[in-house]
Amino acid sequence: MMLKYIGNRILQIAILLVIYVAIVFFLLHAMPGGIKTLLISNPKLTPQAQEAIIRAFGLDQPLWLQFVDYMKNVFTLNLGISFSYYPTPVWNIIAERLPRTVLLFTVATLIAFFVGFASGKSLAWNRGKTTEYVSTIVGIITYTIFTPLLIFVMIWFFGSFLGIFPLNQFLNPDLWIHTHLNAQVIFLYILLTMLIIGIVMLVSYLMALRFSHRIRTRRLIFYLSTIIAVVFSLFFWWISPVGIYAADILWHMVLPVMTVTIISYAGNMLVMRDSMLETIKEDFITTARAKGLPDKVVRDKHAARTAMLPVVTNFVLSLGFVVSGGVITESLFSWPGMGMTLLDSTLAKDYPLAAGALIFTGIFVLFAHLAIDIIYAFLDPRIRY
Amino acid sequence: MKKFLLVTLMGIVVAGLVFAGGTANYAMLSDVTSLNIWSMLGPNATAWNFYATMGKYGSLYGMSDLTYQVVPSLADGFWTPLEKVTEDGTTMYVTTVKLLKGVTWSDGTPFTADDVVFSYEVPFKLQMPGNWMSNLPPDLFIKVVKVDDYTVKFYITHPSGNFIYSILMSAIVQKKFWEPVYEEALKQKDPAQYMMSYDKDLLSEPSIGAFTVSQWQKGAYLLDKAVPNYTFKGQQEIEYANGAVRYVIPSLNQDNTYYGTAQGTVNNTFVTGPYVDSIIYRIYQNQTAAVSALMKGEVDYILNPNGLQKGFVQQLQTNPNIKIVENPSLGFQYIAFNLRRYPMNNKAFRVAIAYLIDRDLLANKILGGNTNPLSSLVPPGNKFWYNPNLKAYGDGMTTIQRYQAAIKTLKDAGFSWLIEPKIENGQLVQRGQGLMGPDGKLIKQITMMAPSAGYDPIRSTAALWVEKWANDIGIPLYADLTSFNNIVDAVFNQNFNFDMYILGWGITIYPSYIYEFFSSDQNVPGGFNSPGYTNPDFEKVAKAFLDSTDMNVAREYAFKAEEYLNEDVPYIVLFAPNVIEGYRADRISFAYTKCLDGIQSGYSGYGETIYVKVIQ
Repeated sequence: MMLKYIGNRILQIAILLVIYVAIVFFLLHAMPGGIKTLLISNPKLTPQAQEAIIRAFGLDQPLWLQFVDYMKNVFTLNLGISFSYYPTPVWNIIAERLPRTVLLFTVATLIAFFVGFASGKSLAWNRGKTTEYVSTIVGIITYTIFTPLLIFVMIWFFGSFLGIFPLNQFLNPDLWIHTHLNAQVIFLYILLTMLIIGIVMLVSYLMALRFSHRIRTRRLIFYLSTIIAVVFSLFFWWISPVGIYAADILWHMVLPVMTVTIISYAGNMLVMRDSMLETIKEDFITTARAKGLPDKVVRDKHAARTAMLPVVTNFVLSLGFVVSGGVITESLFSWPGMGMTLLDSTLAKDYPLAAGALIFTGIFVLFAHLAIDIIYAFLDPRIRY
Repeated sequence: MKKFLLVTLMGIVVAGLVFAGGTANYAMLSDVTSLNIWSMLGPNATAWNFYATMGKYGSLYGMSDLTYQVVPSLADGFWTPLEKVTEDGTTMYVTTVKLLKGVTWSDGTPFTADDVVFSYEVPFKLQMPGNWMSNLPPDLFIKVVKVDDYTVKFYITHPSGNFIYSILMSAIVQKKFWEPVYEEALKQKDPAQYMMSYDKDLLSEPSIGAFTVSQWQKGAYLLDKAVPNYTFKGQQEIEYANGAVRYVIPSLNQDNTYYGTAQGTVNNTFVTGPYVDSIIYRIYQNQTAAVSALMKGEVDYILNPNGLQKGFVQQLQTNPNIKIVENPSLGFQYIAFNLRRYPMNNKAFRVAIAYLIDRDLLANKILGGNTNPLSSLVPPGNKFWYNPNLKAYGDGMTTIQRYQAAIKTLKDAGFSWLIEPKIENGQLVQRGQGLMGPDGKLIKQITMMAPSAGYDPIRSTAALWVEKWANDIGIPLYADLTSFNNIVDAVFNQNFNFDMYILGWGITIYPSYIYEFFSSDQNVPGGFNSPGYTNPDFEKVAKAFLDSTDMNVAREYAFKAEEYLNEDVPYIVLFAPNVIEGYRADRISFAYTKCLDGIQSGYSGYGETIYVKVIQ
């Protein structure tokens, strides 16, 4: 049943993707000016040279023919050749930028989720207290704040005034000029480390569920495994000669991660708080209390698990959007990732790169929706497909 | 005595170079797109590519600092006069260029005619798009032939100034490095694309310049290291007040003077470095970040083709270690008329508008000195090509005098009003209304597209003032402030769908654009002649200018062509924006800071990389 459902959803996703690719393609080509806007601004390019460029980019073909070619390419996983990095394939550019974006925004999204989830749960449980009012107001302010303003304040306060964090960029050139290491490799190693720790946490959680019924034992297994995995990873990086370069990247990540977390944790917190407030009014919570269960168990096992569905939706969708990065964050922190790629390529009328970045993001978001549907079945026993 | 002075000077130079060193830090606002020269100068050529990577390539001819005269670089002296020859029934023009002996690439390989022939053959034969096609125009360039190791012959279809400023200044690469790649490329389906996408060992590509790129962390920085055996290290460039320029190259035992004799007052002396061990080009994705880095001392100078935004200047001025320099840009902003439409096709109408525009008032009072008033296509900073005798309509007039001149011009041409503008006691007491053409018909609204304030507050403000002045005397002009893309789309994509517009051009030292912007062969959809200007007399002198290889003769023709344009007013040049730059005067010093288009300009060596010194 479940497999049939997944099959149907994938089919729907494929249809949606075709529509999405078509919209992206025609929207980009509908931008006023076109590639000519850029070519004409360079009087050194003779009309002959301009024509040669237009031919090289394949823009001399009728639009519908370009669309058919593009569609064919997308479904053979060929996103074409970038105009602004001609003749570099779009895939190569995405592969170069993606790890930077994924690392920054995954870390920020995870922290924002856990902080938001925990604080929202606690706020709802302690409703009516001063902490709830203060936290809610602070949360609303950070959630609605004008992002560039917050970033400028963060950069000024922590970077310029206190001088404790780097102002910009994702690494310190003064350190890196002494090595021939590629920063890309370090990004991938850091992501690999995070993946390994994530897998260890998942496996230990499943093992804990299987081998013990006692919550304390389960927690012990889970936390111990996680700590061992983290300590082992840190030790590996400590003894590794490239550890210092990873530390440099992580050090440059602190300020942007802090900023993204401040902006996005409140969303999770407020959703969790509202959801919890609804849930604790339910009969099954009254029943759990009547059974004499401890407050913490009622809150964490009964109320929070039910209330977390909308927060999980939010979280998984955010993970889907992780690959698109954030134009403002990446631009102001000089963190050239997918967000900057999207912005630059759109401004440069680099249709293949802009479309490639959008389609890549679109695929992730569509699959995030599929993941939510599957996760729901596990989280809420009432949902069956 | 002369010898003694020369030896002393050389001693100072050597001492200066020996004690030089350190690392200069430049900020860039975007990454380079590639380290592959074929791609860098291809369709995606950007200013950022030039800044950090072009220092390793050479050219046969270049330009002198500050005076912008064509001077030999890798060539030994000037080319011989063009001779008409016929080969296989084809008539062409041929010239001989001698090459400097003793120049070496950074790997020790001597520079020879093989490198020159290869550097021209590859992009031309493979029809590489982008700047390559502009540098080697297929309708001009034919071939380069090696005569011996240090002599080549250039064959072109006809004499042209572009032969000097485009062909002879094209980039030279090392044949030894690129030949195997080229051979492999010729076996591919698309050899040009293969060459442009080649990305192996590019950091080890030998340099003939002062620097070579030794590291590229994509998105973060580029590291350029000084080439220890740079042939031109210690070269002296001495510029005389009489226009002569002398080059002394100690390593090659060369001492040549061009454009006159080396005597009289010396205006400038420059000694080629590099004086630093390396330059780090740090990439920031926005100007705010780069400015913060400059304030903090992370970088010493910000490279940006548009210079600093005015808003940052005050912030930078709070730091006593930061010096701000302001230079006129190599470009101009202008109003264009569509001569295909009425009444813009009426010369008196265009002249009346020209009378109305007080560019001094605009630039100095209204726009607060953020831009330089300019009335000619060639800015005064381009000393050789600037025509000082051009007089713009209304020069030195007050606003009321301008109104009077414009009204008179219109009246003389047969225009009339339903309500005529009235000037009494030096005041406009009655605004004009209902302008009618010489045929007696009411003139409908004329739309002048201009960039909106969000894109360019200077041009949008200027547009609103032009609208006001025109409306004051009854010209129904409407300033349509819109997006830059909309204007370009209407002008160049929609078959000249405009009445008037305001845009700007970035230009070059050699003003071939005088021909290109107004010639009849560019009066086609998508062509540069957006006004649709046609004047056979202009065409004749402009063509003669373009076809002259004697630059003194070319200048006379250029002046004459400009006079036609000044008279006929297809464009009204408004002003040249300033390029504002900032650098850490406590960390680095430049050889000069007053120059056309700023220190960042290619004519100043993209941040004076060969002159910059780190203050130890």
